[in-house]
Amino acid sequence: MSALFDVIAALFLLGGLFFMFVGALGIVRLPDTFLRLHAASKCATLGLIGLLLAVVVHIGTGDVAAKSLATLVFAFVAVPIGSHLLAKAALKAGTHQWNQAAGDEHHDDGMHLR
Amino acid sequence: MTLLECLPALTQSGVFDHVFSLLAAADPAGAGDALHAADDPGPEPGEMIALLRWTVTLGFFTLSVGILLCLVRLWRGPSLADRVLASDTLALHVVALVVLLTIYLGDLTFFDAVLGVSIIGFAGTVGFAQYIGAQGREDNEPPAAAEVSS
Repeated sequence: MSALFDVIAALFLLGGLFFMFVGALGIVRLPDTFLRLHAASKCATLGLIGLLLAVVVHIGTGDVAAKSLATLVFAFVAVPIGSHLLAKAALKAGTHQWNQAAGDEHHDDGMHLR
Repeated sequence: MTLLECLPALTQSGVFDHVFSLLAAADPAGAGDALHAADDPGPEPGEMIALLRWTVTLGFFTLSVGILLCLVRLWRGPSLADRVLASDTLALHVVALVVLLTIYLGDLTFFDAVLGVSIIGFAGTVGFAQYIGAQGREDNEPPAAAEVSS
C-alpha cells in the first residue's frame, strides 16, 4: 500500500516538476515581460500543486497536510495578486512590449490605470 | 593603527604559527581533507521505492537547471520588472527544493521553510511592484498631489 502511494507521489512529482521547468524555460525564452509573467504564474501555481500533493501523499500525516494546505491557499491568493501588481506596474512604467502582441488594449482608448 | 599596519607585527609575534599548530593538532590528517572525506555518506534518505527516489533525483537536477535559467533572466533582464519576476521564480524554486528535500529525507524538519519562503517572495514582489509603479508615474504622468489639490 505504501508502494502504491509512492507511485502516486512520483506521478504528482513529475507533473509538478514539468510545470516548474516549463515556467523557468518560459522566463528565459519568451520575448516580453508580460509573457514572461504569464509563464512564471503557471510555474508558481501548477508546479506547487504537484509538488505539495506529492509530499502529502508520500508522508501522509495530518501535520504535513495542514501545512501544505496553508501553503497552497496562500500561494493561490498571493501569486495572482503579485503577478497582477507587477504587470500593472510594468505597464505603467512603459516596459517594452513585443511587437507581435495581439493588441495593446491600454494604449489610446481612454482607459486610465490607477 | 589599521589592521594592515599591524599585520607584520602579528606575523613576527608568532600568533599565526600558534594558530596553524592548533589547526594541525585538531586535524592530524591535514586541514582540507575533511572537505572531501569519502567516508561521510551524507544524510540518510527515508523509506521510499526506487521509482520515487529516481524521480526525486531527477527533480533535484531539473530544479537546479531551472534556478540557472532564472539567474540568466535575473542577469540580463532588460527591465526591473523582469528581474523582480526572475527573483520571485527563484524563491519558488527554493520552495520546490525544500519540498523535494522533505520527500527525500522523509521527515518534516525543513518543511516550515516552505510557507516562510513563499511569504517572503510575495512580500518582495509586492514591494518591488509598488516601486516600479511609483517610478513610472514620475516619468509619464503629473504627480498625484496636483490632482488631489485641484
